Amino acid sequence: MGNANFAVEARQLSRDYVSSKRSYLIGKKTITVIKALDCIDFEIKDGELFGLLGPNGAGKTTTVKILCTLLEPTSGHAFVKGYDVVKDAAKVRKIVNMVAGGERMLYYRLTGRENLEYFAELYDVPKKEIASRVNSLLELVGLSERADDEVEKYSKGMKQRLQICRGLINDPEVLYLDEPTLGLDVNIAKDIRKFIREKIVNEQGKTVLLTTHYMYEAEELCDRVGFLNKGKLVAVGRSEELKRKMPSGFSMEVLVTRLTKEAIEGLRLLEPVKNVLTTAYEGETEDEKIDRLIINVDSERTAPEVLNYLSSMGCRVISVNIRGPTLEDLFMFYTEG
Amino acid sequence: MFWRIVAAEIKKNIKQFFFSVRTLFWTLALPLGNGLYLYFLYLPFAAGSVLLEFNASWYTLDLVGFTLIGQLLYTFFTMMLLSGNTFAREREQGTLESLLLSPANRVAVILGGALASAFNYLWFLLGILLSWVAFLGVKIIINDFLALFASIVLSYLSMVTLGMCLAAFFVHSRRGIMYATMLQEPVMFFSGLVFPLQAMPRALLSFSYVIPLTFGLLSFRLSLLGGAFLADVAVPLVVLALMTLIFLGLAAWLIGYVERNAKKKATLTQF
Amino acid sequence: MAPHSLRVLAATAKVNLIMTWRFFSWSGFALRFWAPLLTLSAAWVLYNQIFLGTTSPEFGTAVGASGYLSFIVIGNAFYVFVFAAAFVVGRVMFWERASGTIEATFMAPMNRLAYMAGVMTAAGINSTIDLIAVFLIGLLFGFQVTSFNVALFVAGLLLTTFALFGIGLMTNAITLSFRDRTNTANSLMLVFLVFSGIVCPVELMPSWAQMISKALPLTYGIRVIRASLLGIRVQDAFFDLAVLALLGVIFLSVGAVTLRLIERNLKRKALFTVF
Repeated sequence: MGNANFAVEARQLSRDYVSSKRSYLIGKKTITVIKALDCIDFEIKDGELFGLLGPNGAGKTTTVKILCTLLEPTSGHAFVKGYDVVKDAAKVRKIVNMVAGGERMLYYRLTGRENLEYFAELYDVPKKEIASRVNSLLELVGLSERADDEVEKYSKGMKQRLQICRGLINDPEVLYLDEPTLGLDVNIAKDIRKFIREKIVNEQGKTVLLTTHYMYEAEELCDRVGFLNKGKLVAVGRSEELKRKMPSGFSMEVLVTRLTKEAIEGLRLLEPVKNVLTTAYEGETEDEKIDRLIINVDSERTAPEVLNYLSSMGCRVISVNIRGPTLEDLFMFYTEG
Repeated sequence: MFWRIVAAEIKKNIKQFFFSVRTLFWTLALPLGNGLYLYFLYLPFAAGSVLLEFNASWYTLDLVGFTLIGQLLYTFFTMMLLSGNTFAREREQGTLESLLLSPANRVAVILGGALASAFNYLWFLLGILLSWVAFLGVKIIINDFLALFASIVLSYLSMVTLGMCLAAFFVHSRRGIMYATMLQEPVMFFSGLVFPLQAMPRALLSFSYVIPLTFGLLSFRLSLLGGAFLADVAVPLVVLALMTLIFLGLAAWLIGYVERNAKKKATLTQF
Repeated sequence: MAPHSLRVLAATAKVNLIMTWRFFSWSGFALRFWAPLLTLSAAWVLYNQIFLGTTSPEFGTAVGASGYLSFIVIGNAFYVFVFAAAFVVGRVMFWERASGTIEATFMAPMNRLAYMAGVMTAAGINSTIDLIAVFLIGLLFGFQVTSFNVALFVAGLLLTTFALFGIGLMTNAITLSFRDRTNTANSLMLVFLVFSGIVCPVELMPSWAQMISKALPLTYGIRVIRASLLGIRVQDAFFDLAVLALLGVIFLSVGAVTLRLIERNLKRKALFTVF
């Protein structure tokens, strides 16, 4: 039995995926083992909104599936409200639910209302409460007018909102949100985030585990975050605490053109510079490719030295922004070094 | 470019269909089972052979051969009927959109899907003929190998091109698989699969003559079990060849027309 | 059955019926008449045109005075009932996985057997409509009920459904485990249908086929139905009912265990969404 003081607990949780392949139907069989989760440990307190961050393939969805009893761990344990997700799966299912990004987990040939009524039955929602609960959930997400249309006629955003209703139909104590705003319009995603924070966590006091690779989303919503990289939990804690652990206190975000490898190597060797990360920038000038540098420095006062160096290496600086480290910086630090 | 797409479709379909040894086994077992069902249909009458009349001649065909070999061809025919189902599956998986988004020639895509079945057809022929003839003692009488070869090839081509027409239609219809299933029973009845065609009421024979399987069954049974020569089965063979050409032309036209229609009605991705 | 399980059963039956009828509607309904009409027509042509209305003496001994066409109509009706019911249950998890709803459904705290029973109930309702359709069409071909024993008919149908449910549960395991879509499941259904005496009495089959028949619950089910409608070997019907019940218990027990094992297997091998 786990610790009932925590809403969710993972203890040395591991999960391997084994795949076998035979060449030409009757040839030699090769077996590949992928370690999707490697002995991860974390806890989530009651009423907390915990973000599990990581690049694609880090193990976020695997973690969520184990916690909602759809997947068995290879080793280790996971508990929800003290119940083991494997041994007490039936008890766990009563108190959790999951909302996944994408367009699955709904019956397309049923209407929105029929979907919710059906899942209400599966979750043993008291019969006399079903109609009012379904109506209030639909109203909450703004789907009342389209409730009696078949789901296949819904837009992506509408399906996602209906998914949220499905995820709340049993009034779960713990809600898993697996990339809930994936592929949605900016304004709809913003509304959903607001809904998660204000209604689900603040008002209803639910515990939420959110997985996302939108850093601004985690920055906006999460009380605490955990970074997963290649199956390992590389950092857990409040954003502010983790930022303080960064090699330096400030980040310079510099957009440059004509960046060379030599310039980056030389920049790393400068004394005030603690770390340099490069990413692509989504815009381009008419003639040249723009690179984005995230340079961790001790102090804002070292900025001129850095900029002078870049100019001396032939780079053209387009813009500079000095700020404290963000979650994105943390993400890149922990996943790319 | 056209043949590259055909080749890519063939490779994709074969890989999706034949990904396990179990599939190969059940591909043989299914027509065997259906054939036995047909054979058992004759047991209440204690018949050991079937008399088939064609072109004013009578042929005595071994009952086991009549039912099992007939089932072989019928199974392939239903595969062609249901070949549109591969597109229904593409729709379910969400890959139909990506297929139609590409500049790939649609005729090439559908032809590739249909030709992938050649692998199944060969498997049937070799596997079933050898095993059934060897183990069940089906009495075969072949007097003209050219007649048999022509029957096999033309039956295949006519059914494949019909399958292309149906695939073109079904890819944009959610009810495609249902319509295809509805066609299976009439084909079974009108083609002479269950009973020799001379027993068909005259008024209904015209339905029989529009089904390529009717002529395929005739020529195949006569050349394999009845010792028929090329001249004896010339008429059904010529009909099969003509049907092939007609279906091919129809498929090419249908593919473009149906897609345009589906885009107007926004039914491309509903499933 | 616990109240929640009954709710799950009812709700699942309801949504399955909605989805079947909303998609297929009237054209699907027409299909139910179309297929048996042609199958019975083929049998009629065979009997009247090829064999001129005579059957072998052995057939006469096996079925008595009821006649070939009545024998075939009942066999056909039973075929349609069995195929629809077992086939639907046998591939429900496959279909849920293909539609992407399996996770949402199996994450719910519901009794899995109750859920499957709901699917079976919906399939059973649809198959009963098919069964009645075939009997009605059979009237066109000279089908005659010579002695209707209601209790025996209902008992036979219910116990067959019970056995089919177990078979459907086991077929789920095969359909999901083998990833060859429904080929393996279809082939197994074929075994049941070829050897259960649908189109000819078991006594006329080769001895190796008779051995297979004796292990199949449907063999006994169809004998009971024929006894209840045609008065054929009514004295053996009670023995057949007992065997049917026993086989039903065995198949259902194995099926229930298989269902648990499938789910465990899916969770262990992360196959809930692999399709």
